[in-house]
Amino acid sequence: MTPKMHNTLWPGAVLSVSLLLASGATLAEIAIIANPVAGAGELDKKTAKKLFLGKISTIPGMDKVTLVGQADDSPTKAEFAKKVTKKKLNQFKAYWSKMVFSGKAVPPKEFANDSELKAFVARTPNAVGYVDASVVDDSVKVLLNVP
Amino acid sequence: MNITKSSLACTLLAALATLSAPALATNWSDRIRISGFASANYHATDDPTSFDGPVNEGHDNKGSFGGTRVGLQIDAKVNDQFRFAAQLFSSKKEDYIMEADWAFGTLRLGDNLDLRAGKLKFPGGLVNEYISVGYATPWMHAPAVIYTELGAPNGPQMTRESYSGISLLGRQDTDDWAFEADLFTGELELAGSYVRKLRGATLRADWDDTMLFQVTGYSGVMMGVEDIADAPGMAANMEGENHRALLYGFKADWNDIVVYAEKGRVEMADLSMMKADSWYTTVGYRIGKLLPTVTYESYKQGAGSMQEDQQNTTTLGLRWDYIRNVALKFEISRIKTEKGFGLFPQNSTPDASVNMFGFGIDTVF
Repeated sequence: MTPKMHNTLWPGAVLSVSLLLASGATLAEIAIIANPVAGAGELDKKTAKKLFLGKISTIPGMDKVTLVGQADDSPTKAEFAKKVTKKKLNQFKAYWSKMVFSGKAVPPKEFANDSELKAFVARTPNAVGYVDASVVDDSVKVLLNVP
Repeated sequence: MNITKSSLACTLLAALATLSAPALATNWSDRIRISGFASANYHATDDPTSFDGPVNEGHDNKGSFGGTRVGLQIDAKVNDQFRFAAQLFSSKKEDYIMEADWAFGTLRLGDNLDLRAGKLKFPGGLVNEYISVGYATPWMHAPAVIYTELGAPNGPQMTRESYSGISLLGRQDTDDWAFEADLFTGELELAGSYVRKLRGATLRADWDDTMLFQVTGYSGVMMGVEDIADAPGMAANMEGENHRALLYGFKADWNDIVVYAEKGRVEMADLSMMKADSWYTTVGYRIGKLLPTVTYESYKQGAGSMQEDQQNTTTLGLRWDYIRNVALKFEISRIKTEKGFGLFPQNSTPDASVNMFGFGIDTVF
C-alpha cells in the first residue's frame, strides 16, 4: 500500500468511525412511546420496568394498555432489555417464557423494527412500546427517554 | 386416561376456533397468540435401576431420551375483562400423545385481581407453573426432591400436577416490591388416586425482580387410591386421609449470581411412612452465555417407620445460551442413597452411589 493510498483512505476511515460512533450513540437512547392521545404523562423508569415485565398492566393516566415490543433480532430490543429491565436479551426472553407458559401473561405483540412499532403506536390509542429515540417524531408521544 | 385428555385437547382446539371466529373476522392477530417450547433431553446412569420414574421410564444405564417434550400454547383475548389460555403438551413418556396440561379462563375483577377457573398448573414450588419449559430454568430437569416426575413410584409428590378448580389471584406492588397471593381450591387427579377438597394458598414477594420469596401450603383428602403392587395394604391406609404440604422457596438473580433454594414437607394424616422432608439449593454464576451451577438435593421419607429413605444428590450443571432462543444443557450428578431406595422404585436395590449424566437442548418459539 502506498502512502498516497493511505492519504486517500484516511478521511473515509474517520467518517466510518464517526458514523459507527454516531450509530452507537443513537442506539444507546431508548424512548418509551405512546399514542399522542394517551392520558399518561411522564413515566419513571421503575414503572416502565414493571410494565414491560408484566408486573403491572396499567400506568397512571392509562387504565388500559396494549403493550407492544420488537422481534428478538431487533437491536433495539436488546438495548431496551439491558437499559430498562436490566436483563440481557436471553434473560429477558427466559423471563417472559415463565410469564407466558404459566398462563399469567400474554406476550406483547412484536414488530420487526422501530418504524413498524412506531406506526402501530401512532394508530392505536392504548399502545405503549419502545423504539430507538432517533426515530421519534410527532406521530407518537414520548413517556420516557432512557439514555 | 390418555384418550380422555386427548379428547379434551381436541375439544379445546375446537372451542378456541369457535371462540376466535369473531376475532378472526376482525383483527385476529391482536387477539390470539400462539407460542411453544420444546426440550430434547438424554440421561444415562451407571446402574440398571430406574431413577426418578417408573421402570423403563426413569433414568438407567441403558440411557433414555425420556425427558423429551414439546408444548404448544394458545392465548385468546376475548375482551378486556376475559381471556383464555390452554397449553397442549406432549412427551416421550406419554408416547407423544397430545394432552391438555392446563386450560383456564381468567376473568379480570380489577386492576390487581383475577379469578381463574379451569384446569390450572399447581402453584406449589418456585417453577412448577412452567416446569415443562426447560428454557425458563437453569436445569435439565427441576430438582426431583421437590418436583418428582409424574408417575414416579416413590418421592414426595408435592408438585407437578395440574388441578381442576378455581384460583383467586391478587397482586399489590410498592416502589420496589411486588406481592402476589394465589388462593386456590379444587381437586387433583394423580396416577392411581385423587386428592379431593384441595385447598391452598401461595404467597409471593418479589423485590425488584432480583429476589423472590415464596411459600405454599395446601391440604386435601386422598380418594380412590388404587392398590400399590410394591406396597400391599398401603392403599387402604391412604384412603380418606388428609394429604398436606408446605413449601418455602427463595430465588435470587443478582449481578450474575443465580440462587434457587426450596424446602418442602409433605404429610398424610399421621402415617410416618408418608412423611417426607426435602430441600435443595442451586447456586450459579453467569459468565456471558454460560451459566454453570451446582445443586445439592436432600430427600428423607418415612423417618421412624419400617420403610425409611434418605438420599442426597449433587449435580454440576451447565447452561449455554448457544444461539437466540436456544439453550444447550449438560449435567453430571452423583446420587447417594443412605437409607432405603430414595427416588429409585420401591423395593429396588440401587448402588449406594450412582452417577448420572445428561445433555439436552431447550427452545422456545
